[in-house]
Amino acid sequence: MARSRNRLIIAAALCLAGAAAVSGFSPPGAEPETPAEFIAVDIGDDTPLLIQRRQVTREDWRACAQAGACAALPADGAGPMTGVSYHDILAYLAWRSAEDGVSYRLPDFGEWMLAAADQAPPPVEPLFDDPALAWTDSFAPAKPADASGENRFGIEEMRDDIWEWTASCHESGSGGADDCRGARIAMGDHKAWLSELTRDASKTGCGGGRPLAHLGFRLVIAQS
Amino acid sequence: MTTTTKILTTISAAAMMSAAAFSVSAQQGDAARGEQVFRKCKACHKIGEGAKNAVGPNLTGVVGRPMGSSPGFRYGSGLKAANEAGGVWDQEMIVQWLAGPKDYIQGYTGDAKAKARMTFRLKDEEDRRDVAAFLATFSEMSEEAMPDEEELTHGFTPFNENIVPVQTEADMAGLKRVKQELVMPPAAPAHDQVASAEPRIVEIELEVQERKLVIDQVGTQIVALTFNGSVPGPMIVVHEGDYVDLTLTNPATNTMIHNIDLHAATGALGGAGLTTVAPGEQARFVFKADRAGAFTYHCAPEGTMTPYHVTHGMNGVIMVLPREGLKGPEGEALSYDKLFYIAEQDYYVPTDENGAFISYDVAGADFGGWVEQMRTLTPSHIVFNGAAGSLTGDNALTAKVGETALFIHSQANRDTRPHLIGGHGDFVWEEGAFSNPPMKDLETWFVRGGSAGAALYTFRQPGVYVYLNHNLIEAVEFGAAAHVVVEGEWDNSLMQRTYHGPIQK
Repeated sequence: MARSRNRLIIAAALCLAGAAAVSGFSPPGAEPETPAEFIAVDIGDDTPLLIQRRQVTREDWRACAQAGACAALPADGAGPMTGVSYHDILAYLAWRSAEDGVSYRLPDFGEWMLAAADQAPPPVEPLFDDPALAWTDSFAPAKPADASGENRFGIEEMRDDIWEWTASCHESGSGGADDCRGARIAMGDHKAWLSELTRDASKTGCGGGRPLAHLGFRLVIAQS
Repeated sequence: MTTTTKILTTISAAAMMSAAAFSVSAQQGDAARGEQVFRKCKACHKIGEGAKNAVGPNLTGVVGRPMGSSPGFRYGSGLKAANEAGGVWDQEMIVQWLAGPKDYIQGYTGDAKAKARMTFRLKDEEDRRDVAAFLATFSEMSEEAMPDEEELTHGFTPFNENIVPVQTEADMAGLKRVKQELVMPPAAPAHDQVASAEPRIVEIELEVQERKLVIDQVGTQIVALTFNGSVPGPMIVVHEGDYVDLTLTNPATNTMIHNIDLHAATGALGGAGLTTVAPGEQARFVFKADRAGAFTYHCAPEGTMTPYHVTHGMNGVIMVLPREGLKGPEGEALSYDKLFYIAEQDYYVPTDENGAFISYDVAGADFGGWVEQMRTLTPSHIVFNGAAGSLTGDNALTAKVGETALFIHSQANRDTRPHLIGGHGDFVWEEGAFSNPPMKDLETWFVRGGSAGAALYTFRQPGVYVYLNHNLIEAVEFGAAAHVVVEGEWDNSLMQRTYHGPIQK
């Protein structure tokens, strides 16, 4: 019940935001209300990025799976949903967008970094300086999270042991097709590049580099 | 003309004063320490020759550059306004900006609604001064070093962007270049057993094909991941000391990222570190075949994808022959009339609720169930050359009495134990290492998972030989068996049936 009430609030808030955007008029002191689960982050655009305060939960997932719209993955208990592939998430986004009447998507890499702000992970120090050994970069040990708790925007769980899928492609070398070619960026203590099929990224070995503990995700609200 | 000079000639007098100021304030920060602090900034910014915009704009030459002027970068409204007003960055301004970009730009523009994209702040003033001093060191760069206009890209450290092309031309000067025409298994490409004295450069072209493949008699179909369309991939044959110039192409019609790790190659994960290609990409590298042997090659993209790709057929053999050809334990020359290239393949096909194998049309669709099955270490299929029956019946291998065959047997993943029923291994390089003396007269030999073994045998009798994995369950129940049909005259001195009938007293 709490969930559906929240959804109504979100939908109402979005209508308000939409109206303001359409009219190009935002009355003073009447900033559009941000839905309860979300945080408005100013990343320099006309409208703020509306990003989920915390990751999508197991309870959220169960609702989607019970509706038959999401894969029946292990999702018992409470806490953030993990063990989801990019394709699993697409199903969730479609279901929940229809359910709430709000268009959700994943953050892209830049949005995730800007939302992380002071909690943005530093790039991993390469193992070697020689450019001929750049291929070893994925083996460099990532620094453990030096940031925990909520960040200065009040966003939580960005640097815990659950990594988050983004919608962004990894560029690999030159040329190539325009689509993501089956791989996306996931963010946590470093930038990881994962096959969209991956549910459990903890089994990375040679050629893959640094294992991730868990894979989850958070939503942003798509604004035209 | 330097960037700084150019800017000085084109901007306002006020800005000139700002730009001139940076040479003075350059004293104020420690650029070397700033470089250390700047590591944090590298999460979103690139700097230096060839740098591009990333999450944040390219910072090469930012000190002394008009504000909000990195070509192609989508700035917030504050820096756009500052740009239009003719503002130019100096070191002191950057020190203040870094303390709080949004606050700074609102103060600078006098617009309380001015926006900034940058959400990161450097709280420590010494850090800010040192970073600004470090940034200033990039303002002496020539205009040529400035990048062309770039689209805003997400992601900033392409997987293999910084790979320097292998510069082996000097070492290979004067060597003859040949292109090897690869053929479908179980055949091997045309090759000399004894090589010319001079090493050659052998050009190899491999194309990844994600293609449907029926793997058993009941018609189970998978989408195999293959080199050049076959399971196993084509055999490559070179000689010790040759260079292999390998091109790996991943056509845009594919759906997955691939690469190649050749156990014959030295360094960079056997080549996997240099050859990771997304659909639509191609990679090329050269390596020296610096030791003799039969070696496995396979795809090794990352994590779970490595066994997933290998168990979908993405493996094969590169055979590096000694220049002087094969030798026996006494150093005697050995040769072969035929080469049988056999690769044993384990598959892990998921089953439906009735226990029947599921067939697939789309690459990757079997991923979840396949990985689950893989983790039981129990294959659903163990076959030779891609499918049960691929080397039996009409597809049986053939030979004649008196002919010598070299069996190359590869298993990229699991151990196996080849055996020739009715024959032997006259000379066996169990580990495939041709520089070691071969073992003689083996009944069954052992091929370790992740390697290729070699066995030489001269057929002495006609008939049918069964060449199999002598775990007979794997051979018979799972499919790891081949037939060799041999023509010729029966030799009674080796074997003769002397009675068949009712039990005699």
